[in-house]
Amino acid sequence: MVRPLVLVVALLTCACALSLAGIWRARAAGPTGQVAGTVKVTLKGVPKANAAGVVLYLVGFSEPASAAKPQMVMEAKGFVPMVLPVTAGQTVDFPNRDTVFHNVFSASATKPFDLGQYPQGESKSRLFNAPGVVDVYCNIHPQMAATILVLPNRKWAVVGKDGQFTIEGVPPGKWTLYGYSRFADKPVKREIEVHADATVRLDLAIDEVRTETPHMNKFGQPYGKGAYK
Amino acid sequence: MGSLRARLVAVLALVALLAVGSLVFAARRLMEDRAEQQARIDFESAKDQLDRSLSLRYEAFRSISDLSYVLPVFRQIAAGTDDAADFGLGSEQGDADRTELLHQNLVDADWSWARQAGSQALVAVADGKGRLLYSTAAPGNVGRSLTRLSAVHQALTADDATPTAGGVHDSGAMVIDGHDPLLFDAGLWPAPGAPGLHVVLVRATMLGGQPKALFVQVVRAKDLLADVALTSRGTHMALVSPAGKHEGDVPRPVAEAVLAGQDHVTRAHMHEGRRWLAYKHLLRDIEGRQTIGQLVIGRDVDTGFAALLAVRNALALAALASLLVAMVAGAVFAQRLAKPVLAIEKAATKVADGDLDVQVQATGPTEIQRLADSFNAMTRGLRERQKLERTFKRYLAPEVVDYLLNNPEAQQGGQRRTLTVMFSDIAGFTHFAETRPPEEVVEILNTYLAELASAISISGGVVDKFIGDNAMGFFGAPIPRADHAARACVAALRQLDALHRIALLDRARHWPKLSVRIGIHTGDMVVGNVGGHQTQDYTVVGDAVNLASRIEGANKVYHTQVLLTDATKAAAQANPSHSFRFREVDLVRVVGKQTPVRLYTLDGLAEDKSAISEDAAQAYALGLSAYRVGAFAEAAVQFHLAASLAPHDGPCGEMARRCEALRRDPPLQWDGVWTLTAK
Repeated sequence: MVRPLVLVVALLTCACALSLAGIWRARAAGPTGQVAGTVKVTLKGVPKANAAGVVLYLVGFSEPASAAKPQMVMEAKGFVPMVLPVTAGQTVDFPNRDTVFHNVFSASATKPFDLGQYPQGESKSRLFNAPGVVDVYCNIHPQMAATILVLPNRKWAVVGKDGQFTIEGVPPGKWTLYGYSRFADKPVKREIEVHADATVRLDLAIDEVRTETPHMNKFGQPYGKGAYK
Repeated sequence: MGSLRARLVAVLALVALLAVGSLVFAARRLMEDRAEQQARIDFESAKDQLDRSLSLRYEAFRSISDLSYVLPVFRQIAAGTDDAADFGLGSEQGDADRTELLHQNLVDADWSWARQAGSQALVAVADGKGRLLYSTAAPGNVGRSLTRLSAVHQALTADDATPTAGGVHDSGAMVIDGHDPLLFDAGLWPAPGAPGLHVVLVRATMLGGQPKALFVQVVRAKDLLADVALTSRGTHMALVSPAGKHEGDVPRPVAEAVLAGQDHVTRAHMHEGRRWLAYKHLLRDIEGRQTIGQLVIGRDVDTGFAALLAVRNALALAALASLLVAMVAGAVFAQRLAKPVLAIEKAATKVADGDLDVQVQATGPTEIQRLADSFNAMTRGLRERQKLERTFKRYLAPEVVDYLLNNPEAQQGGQRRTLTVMFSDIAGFTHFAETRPPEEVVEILNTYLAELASAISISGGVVDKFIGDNAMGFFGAPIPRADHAARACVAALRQLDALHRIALLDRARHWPKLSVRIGIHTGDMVVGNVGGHQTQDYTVVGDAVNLASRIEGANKVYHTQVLLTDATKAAAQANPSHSFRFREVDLVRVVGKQTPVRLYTLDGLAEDKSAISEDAAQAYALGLSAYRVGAFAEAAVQFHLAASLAPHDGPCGEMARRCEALRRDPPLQWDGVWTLTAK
């Protein structure tokens, strides 16, 4: 069992080195700007106090994925976080920390997969190599729904409850800013121009139209009456 | 309508009308049947094609459905909203991954049915962007855009891009990668259970090759639901939804008519002056549960079969023409038939008027010719009979007439034959005629002559002529008869009998008693038709005839009724049919003749009792012997004896008186022959 451990350590070391090299390259590319602002979230036009669940990301340039292995945790019959941004090339872990069996599957066009059912304490992972929107569900519990945003770069921000966000280290250029919520019909989209050592400030408004996302089970059928909740 | 011609024309016209009428009727029926049959065949073909299309579609759907159940994720992927691009996250890699995944699954699905259905059935599956995911024609060909196939393009760009009934259909011709052009029938339907996918069915017919690669160019593209079903022109289609919504170009009344009927095909339905045939086909959804609607295929028969209708019109014209021809032919034929009949009728009228020289020129049918021949034979017969009657100018026994008609040569030219000729004269008639009114004279004369002639005819003789109160007849011609002399004798006896009969009647009518003088002679004479061209007599000429006449006259001398020569006696006795009692009267020399003639009288037949007694006859014979040798005194004794025995016998008295005179004044020379001085 020593050899795999050594191998993993070696790989991690390499990954860290590569990441550092990437960061260095990015920084070496020159001065960067930042994007900051506020997101106001409404539910069918009614302002929400809590703006959590919104992710902002920039599209228009690519960056290598970080070595980090983000997690989407299953607990209390839910996925945490509900929206997980990753960079294309990253592998996501799906640990079950709940007391019941869970299943993880996606029927998305970008990354269809099915990890099968597994109990508490086990974890499975999946590599997301192409950008896209991957809706993730549990085949047992219909209320469990999450989205993995596979992004081309690492310039994203998970908005807090107060709606404030900041994206740092943005290379200068004309990019598109997207504001994503699972409950909105369409993402909010802004064209921005980032200059070195400057901050683009903008306020966004996202109107959510639902509080949950109806979907089919992995067989393409509706969840049965006796489905677990 | 009475004439033959009119009837014939009418009958021929009727026959022609019937024939042509039935022909036109049959042709019309035939054409209508053919039209209907063709329509039915087309309908059946349409139905087959539809069924094949539906079946193919169903199989394709089933394949994808099976795949979806075996690999649920496949369906999820196919159905999943690929909204990465909406989120600015679309990437070629993502697209390719997804396409590859779908493709692999489709490759692994069961398409054996499509291969069994034949290479002409191309089945392809496209994704929501019209990209080829799989095709049975070229399984390795992935990712190509099908949007150039207008059906695909239309399905993907239409506002209501989720057709539920029949999908989007297209057909036309296309070229496959430089191969021969092919006719195709392409349809695109959403795959059930995988709404992101579309099933593309291409049923292609290619000349001289197998469809190998997928199409690259659509030569003609048109929304032709009708052409899918029917390749023949003149066909209309309509889709009638269960709610009654009518889409298509079949006239609504026609569609309603076929939908209301029990049969799948209407009988000819009239719409705006045109006959329509319509066919209905129930369309169900792919599971066969739900009725999508009724497909109505209509055909305008009158337009589709305009050529046949033209033929029908031509036939009607031909019918009219043949009717005219038949009538003209009938008239001509009737004319030809009636002409000889009319000619015969005309000739018959002439015959009735007495013209027996009429001949009919017969043309026409055999029966008519036979009629004409018979008519000609009849006039010929009448002519000959008339000629006979003209020639003989008197009564002929029927058997003689028959003989002459059967042996025309018998009266041709002249013949020298031995015959018996007979003259019969009514004695004392001249005096009688002077004292009586002429009407009575003629009446009596005719009565007597008729009896005399009748006796001659009955006995087989020919009444030659009447000379005043004299009837002349001859025997042995024209029918040759060996017993002509005997027949003449029989005729003489019959004439005497007839005279007795008339005499009885005459007393009642206060007519005078008339007697007859008969002279008979047998000898050679010439017999034949004598006279000019117009009037000819079949008669006898010669010395023998004159002699007979003289002998008739000699009756006056001997007060006899019948005198005949020894030639006749000999000829009559040579034929033993009758036994006559002849009595020699005298030996005479008639006027103009040197040769003496022995005369006999006829005392009847041997069995007759009315004749003179044997004694008287014997005395007469003795007297005659003495008289010959000039012993007139002795002869006178004998003759007186005979006269006393037979006081009414003429020769007895005559010879007694003559011998008395000769005895008183004997002649210088005596050869026993008495010379007659009167004719």
